[in-house]
Amino acid sequence: MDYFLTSEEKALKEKVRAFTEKLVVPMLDELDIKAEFPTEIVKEFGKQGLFRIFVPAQYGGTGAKIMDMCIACEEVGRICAGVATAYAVGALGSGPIVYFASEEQKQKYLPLIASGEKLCAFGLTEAQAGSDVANMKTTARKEGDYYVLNGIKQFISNGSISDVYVVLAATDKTRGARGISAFIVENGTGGLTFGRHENKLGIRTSTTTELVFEDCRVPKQNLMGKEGMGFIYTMRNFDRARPGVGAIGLGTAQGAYENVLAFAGKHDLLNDQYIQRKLADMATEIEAGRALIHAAARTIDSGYKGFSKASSFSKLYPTDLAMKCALEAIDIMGPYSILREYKVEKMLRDAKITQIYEGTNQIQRQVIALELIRETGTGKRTDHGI
Amino acid sequence: MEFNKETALLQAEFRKFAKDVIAPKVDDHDKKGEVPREFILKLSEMGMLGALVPESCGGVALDTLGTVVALEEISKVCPSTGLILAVHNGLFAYPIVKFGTDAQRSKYLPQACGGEVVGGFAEMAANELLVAAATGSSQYTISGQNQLLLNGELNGPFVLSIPLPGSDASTFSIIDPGCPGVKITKNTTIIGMKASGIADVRFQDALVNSGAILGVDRQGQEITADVRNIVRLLFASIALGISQGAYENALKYAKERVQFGEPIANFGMVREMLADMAVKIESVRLLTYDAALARDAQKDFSKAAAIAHLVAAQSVADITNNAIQIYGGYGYMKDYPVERYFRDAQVIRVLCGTSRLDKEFIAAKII
Repeated sequence: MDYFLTSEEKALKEKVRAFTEKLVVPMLDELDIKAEFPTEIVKEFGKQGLFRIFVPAQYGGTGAKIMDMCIACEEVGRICAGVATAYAVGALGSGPIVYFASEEQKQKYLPLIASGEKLCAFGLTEAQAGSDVANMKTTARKEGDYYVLNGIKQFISNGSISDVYVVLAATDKTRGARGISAFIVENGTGGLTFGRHENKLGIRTSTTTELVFEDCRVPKQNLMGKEGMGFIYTMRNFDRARPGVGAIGLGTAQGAYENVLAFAGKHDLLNDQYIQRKLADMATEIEAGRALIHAAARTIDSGYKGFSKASSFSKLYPTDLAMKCALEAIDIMGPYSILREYKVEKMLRDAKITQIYEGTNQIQRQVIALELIRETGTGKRTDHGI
Repeated sequence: MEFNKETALLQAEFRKFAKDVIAPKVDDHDKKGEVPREFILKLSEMGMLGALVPESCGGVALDTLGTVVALEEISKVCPSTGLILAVHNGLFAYPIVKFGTDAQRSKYLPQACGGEVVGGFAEMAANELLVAAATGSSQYTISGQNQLLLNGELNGPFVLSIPLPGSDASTFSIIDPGCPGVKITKNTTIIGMKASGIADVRFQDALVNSGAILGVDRQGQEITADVRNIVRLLFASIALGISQGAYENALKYAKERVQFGEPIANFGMVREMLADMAVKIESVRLLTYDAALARDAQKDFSKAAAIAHLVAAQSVADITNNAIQIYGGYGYMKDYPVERYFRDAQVIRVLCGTSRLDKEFIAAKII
């Protein structure tokens, strides 16, 4: 299949594939068992310029192209969705700075994010604010030149190991979603500590912690954009980041498929039509998922505004596909599949999170359906479709 | 399904035992990967170690329906314990009852039924063995390994399928614990059923003497086909128990978890998942009970068992997956039970026959 990638995109894909295989494959078991952040690997990603992908050219990046992010996420995800998550969180954390921060904030943070010197993360979820993002309890009270943050953020990917956090907090509790603001909080700020480290089913190398704010004083110049815009920034940030999550799912599906194919070859199953049917379906659906991600990424990169639906398509389908392919791999590879050395049991455990994080797939369906309803009302498609 | 009084009492008894005795320790056993030995003796007092063994051999000869109902109730709380019992009954005791010699029956069955030993079985699809004909009183010499010795950590005798060199034929044998050249070690690399004691077994020039051959030499195919039927049924009931356990947790959580100002059980997409779970569970339950009743009526239950197993294996994957989905991020954390059900589900889906084998068997029956 020709994906009509530019020569730069092809080179990126090959480069990421090559160094991910070299760096991550030998570490897979250790990363999963020890459940420690892949510090050395992420450092090397930085050296290889992988974080430049998230950042516009004028701040030391390569243009913040969603297509590049998807290519990188798929290739890393093909080997390990945990490492891919540890990497992709950088896009989620830097996105708001790229799109909504002041010039001063951009110049302060983006070059260091691009070079990989500073890792960033996104602090949104709370115990009572999962899908219901606006239900957050964390508050930011204005006091002179500071905002004082109080509350606990939960399930924060790359929590504790990141240097810079974009954190959402209510500046005006009476205004609900429109009373939420976004702040840049640096690790080391007084009053910010990291709570429990979660023990997860999969992506175990990705660190997940609480961010605990206790009278955490954040300089007022760290407010991003305007007060009350945090919820809208969050939704727009997700719209841009979701194809990357889809790409991690796609990579996981691809990895599972490749393992099944190799297993079937080794065990003399390739002439069995039952297996052929499974392999053909997996391969077809993986191509469909890739086409969807590429289309969404190109749509966003083209500067077209109404890409919410395309973005949700590109998260929903490939992540459900990751689960489907991993479950199929278990069935086809039989009893071997449940042993760690055959790799697919980890892919299955990893695949599960892609259906949940950055908006569960139920939320994606909700986004898509609401967009469809809106289109029905206005008679206008919001994307390029006919 | 309406049970008769006896089965209803048995269901209530095992439900209570699972809830009161097993449930408080499940997480601990899973996290430590520890076999729940403390339950085994109690379960043997309740008859569960000789469920499929006639009274003349020391068993309780429970009917098949009662056996699957008991396994379902135990697996709903602790799938690993369910697996231990199913392996012991279906893959160890049953083949000895059906195919064993008198000497083998009297050697193994009274102890097995009394809970003094828990028998194991080496998953045939994981055999990586080199077998040679031996000389003297021994029949075969075995080298190689099997990474899926079910009940291996319980250190009892186990049933092994021996592929015969240069042919498609195979022979079953019973390997005693401590047999020279046989080394059993804990396997910690399996996704789930971590408390079920699945072990690695390595053979180095281990001798199998003729007295250890189950049934007659080269009877492997016949034994496999026969044992598969009962195992499909027992494993379907474990999958059913896992499904029910995951579903009950998800249902409870959906009613308690409030988002957007109301319990998520009010939302259509969650309701659809819950309804789908309930439908699948009811289907598996009816198929499994139906196959069990067919066996109790001495009918050919092989197709019914394959259908029950196929639907159970597919359903348990979907149900445990959606149970995590309903829990959202919490479901992915080891503090909540649904991720364990999801991991255990993968093991029961593929042990001793995958969906592919079920479909091949069903197709062969209907064509």
